[in-house]
Amino acid sequence: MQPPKYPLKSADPSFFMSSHTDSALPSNHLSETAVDGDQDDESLSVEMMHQLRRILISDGVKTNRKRIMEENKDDKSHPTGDNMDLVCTPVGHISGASTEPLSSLSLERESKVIDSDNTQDNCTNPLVLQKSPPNKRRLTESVYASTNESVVGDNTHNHPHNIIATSFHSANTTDTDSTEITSIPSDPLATTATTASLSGANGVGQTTYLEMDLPLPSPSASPSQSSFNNEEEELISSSFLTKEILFRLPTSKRKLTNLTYELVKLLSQDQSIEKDLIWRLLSKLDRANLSSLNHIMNKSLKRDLLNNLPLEISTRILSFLSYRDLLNASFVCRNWSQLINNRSSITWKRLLIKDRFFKDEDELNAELIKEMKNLNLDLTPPELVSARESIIVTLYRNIYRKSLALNQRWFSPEFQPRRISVSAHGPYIITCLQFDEDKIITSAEDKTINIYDTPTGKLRSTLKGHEGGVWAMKYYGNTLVTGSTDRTVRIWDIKRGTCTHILRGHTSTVRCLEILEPTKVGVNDKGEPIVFPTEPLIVTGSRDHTLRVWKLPQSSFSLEETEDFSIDADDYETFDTDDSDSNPFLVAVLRGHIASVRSVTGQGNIVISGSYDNTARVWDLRTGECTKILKGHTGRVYSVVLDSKRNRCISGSVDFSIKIWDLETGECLKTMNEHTALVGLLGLSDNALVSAAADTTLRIWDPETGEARGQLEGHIGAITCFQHNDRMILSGAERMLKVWNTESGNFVRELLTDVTGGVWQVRFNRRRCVAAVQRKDMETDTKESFIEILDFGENL
Amino acid sequence: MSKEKKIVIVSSDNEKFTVDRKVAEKSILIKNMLEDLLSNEDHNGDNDDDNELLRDAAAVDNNDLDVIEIPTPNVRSTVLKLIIEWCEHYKDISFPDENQDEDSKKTPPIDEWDKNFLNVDQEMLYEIILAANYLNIRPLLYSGCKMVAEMIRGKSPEEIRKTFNIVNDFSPEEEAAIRRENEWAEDR
Repeated sequence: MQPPKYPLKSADPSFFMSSHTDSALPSNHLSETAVDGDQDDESLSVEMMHQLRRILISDGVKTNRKRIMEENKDDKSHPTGDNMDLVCTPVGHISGASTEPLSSLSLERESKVIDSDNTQDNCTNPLVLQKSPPNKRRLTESVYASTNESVVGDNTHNHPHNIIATSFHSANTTDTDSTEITSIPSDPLATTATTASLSGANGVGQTTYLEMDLPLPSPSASPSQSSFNNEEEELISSSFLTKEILFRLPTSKRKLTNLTYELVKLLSQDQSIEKDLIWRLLSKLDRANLSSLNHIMNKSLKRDLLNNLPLEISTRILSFLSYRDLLNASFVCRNWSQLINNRSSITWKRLLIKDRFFKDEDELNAELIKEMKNLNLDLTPPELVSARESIIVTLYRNIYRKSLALNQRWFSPEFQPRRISVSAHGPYIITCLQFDEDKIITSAEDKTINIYDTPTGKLRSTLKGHEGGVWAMKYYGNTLVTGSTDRTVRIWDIKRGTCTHILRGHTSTVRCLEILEPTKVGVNDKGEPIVFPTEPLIVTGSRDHTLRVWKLPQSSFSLEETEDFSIDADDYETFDTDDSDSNPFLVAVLRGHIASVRSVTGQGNIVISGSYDNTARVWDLRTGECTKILKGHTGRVYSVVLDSKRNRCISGSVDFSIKIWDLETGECLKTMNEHTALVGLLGLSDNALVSAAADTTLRIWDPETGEARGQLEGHIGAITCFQHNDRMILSGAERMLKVWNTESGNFVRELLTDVTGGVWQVRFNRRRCVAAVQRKDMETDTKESFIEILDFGENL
Repeated sequence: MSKEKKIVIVSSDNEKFTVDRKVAEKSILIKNMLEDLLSNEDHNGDNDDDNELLRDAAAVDNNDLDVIEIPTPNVRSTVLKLIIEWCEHYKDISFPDENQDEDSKKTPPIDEWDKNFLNVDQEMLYEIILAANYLNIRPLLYSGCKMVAEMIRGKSPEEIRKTFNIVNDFSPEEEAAIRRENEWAEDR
């Protein structure tokens, strides 16, 4: 025997949620009701039994009982004659279900208990809710009506608001005029009632009857009882019952409340009844109480959203969070920790790219593979499949952690990176520099190319062969391509340190070059990707006004797998032919410019060239044709970048201006005239277009609109080199190498303070900065070039 | 769109909502469904005049053939009503290509209207997210996700637990272990 439970104790969600399932489908519990009822009823308290008895025993009930018993006498499920039915019978019809027979729902008791009207109760005969589902609703309604009436009808000692307020543990027991409730418009309620009554006819609607699908009671939309008026009128005869109940109720407020609660409990096995009942109760509440209730409701409606939603949605949610938020969230509970630290690699992947530690997935994947190599991890064995996700998350977290620390170092002026300085190319200008984790390659005026070991700075090899200064250089895998004033293009095997091909044809200095990797340039009719070029191509631009397109020769032993260096390099003959017509590597000659080609860039089938003839040209390598001539500059075009995402290109010129061009139409979309000297260098990242000029400044532009976003001032000479990504800009000019914040445009730090000459080249990756600088000795008036390697990633 | 068909979306509890096609098509699921349905029907090779006639006929007869009912067995009427309200609001706005999704560098903050719209109790938010996922209404799904993210953002673990009514089930040892593991990040 439990003591009577106090209703709605605090924010007990079970009250409102008890019959609520996670399924969006309304569940129909009608068939289970009778069975469940047996068990539930046993827990009814003695007190409750008494109360019920007092309530239910009345002349009216007895009278009705006879009638109902007659109606029910064919009912096979009806209990045996020992039982006596106590029936609450609403006489009127309920709107929306008026075609159904009169209610015959009974509360069964053993007759002796009831007849004796004794206070002692035999609890082995619990209240049984008779199995007649369609009618149960009637009972609820009639009982409900009774409750209502009892509450409303006896204001003197049971103010309704107070009762409910007590039930909800509301501190606010102020009497608010109940007319206020009815005066509040409540369209949703009306609509729902109508809907319910409509659907009630087909049986399905029973369960949805008065579903709580109105917005939760709130000041702007409080429920009103208006929609029940009809029913209440129709249930007039039951008011007689109600009166009986009231007269028999000597109860305290508390007892009445308990009674109501127990009735609700009894009836709550049927969702539709429960909802109906709750709804009606709610409709009696005033604003203050609704507000309190609302508070409780919102509390009980809380759920572990992250954990309850499907994984792909949870990871999506997590992707909108910052690293710190993720960290906090992983402390919440085991499930969250599991989710964040073991199951959501995609979240970490997105975070690493979102926080701009990596440009794209490819770059990140490369880092992941590197990390796995470092740890000697092989995730291919099948027994690791299940742990795979967890391991990858760990790796990503590790990468994030490193990236964050690295970033911190780059942006802290106090942090001093480990520095390696290597003398290089004597006094000559270093013209090009490219590096990766393994090697640094520099080309210089002195006709040579140097290859250094990145971690140590040790010179690995010097490539000799060009007969003039080397002014263009790029490598792809193990293949290095260089262009020189000697008019040749040379191909080198980096590992072997040998020249494998000499490509002749240009009739003047080869000034610039670009390597085009196979790229998806579109889809065909069948939706398959079109890749162009099919193999890597070289495009070289020359002072002979032409560009030449070559196949990138990839020597058989050029790739990493081959570590067989037993064959002496001298055994291989360098490919070399003077006959440019029969050169198997030459793909096309792009003719059209009427002056030197100064810069070239491209992707897929598109090549852009900038020339001293004041134009830039757009070429389509699929046809070898010039598709657009970008005219507008009044000076030589020094630099061009391609914005393939927007199908545009940007050019910088000696005329001080920068122009953005539409590749489709060839029109100039925007001209930026802010620089006050020639614009020699341009760079484009996802979020920023950066220009560097001879006016000692760099500028940041919005790549979409061309609007100025920042001006980087501080250098004391023409900017000679820079590189940037979405996080930072590194720029070099006379005696200075500076770091800037791409987003804010703010100066961050100096990287080298002891440079006495020019900074010719600067490149950086996540971990290192490599610069080619010049030191001057004023006394002896000598110059010497150095490679400076700054390592920010030590001990990480 | 050859014929102006009436689209009726039916909730799990059998409530029917009549909507414009462009409203319904905010759901990619329904859009694809309609495309399949209508392309099959359109094989009758009719020209514009016929369409005119058909439309008139439909208007006069209130022909049931021109009503397409789409059941959404996972979505109850209250939720469906809200979803349709959202679709109505955005019916004239075309959302950017879905492929943009992977460009995760740019996540605009949650739209103000959506933020208001989704200012509902957690249960409702939960059901809206599930429904948007099921109906494939990506912008709504994302707004829902952002809404949940907002509830987590900037909060301490304890505040998050309160927000979602979650019990801290870590043992003190476990908690200490996690803290240790993340120590390096604490001072940043």
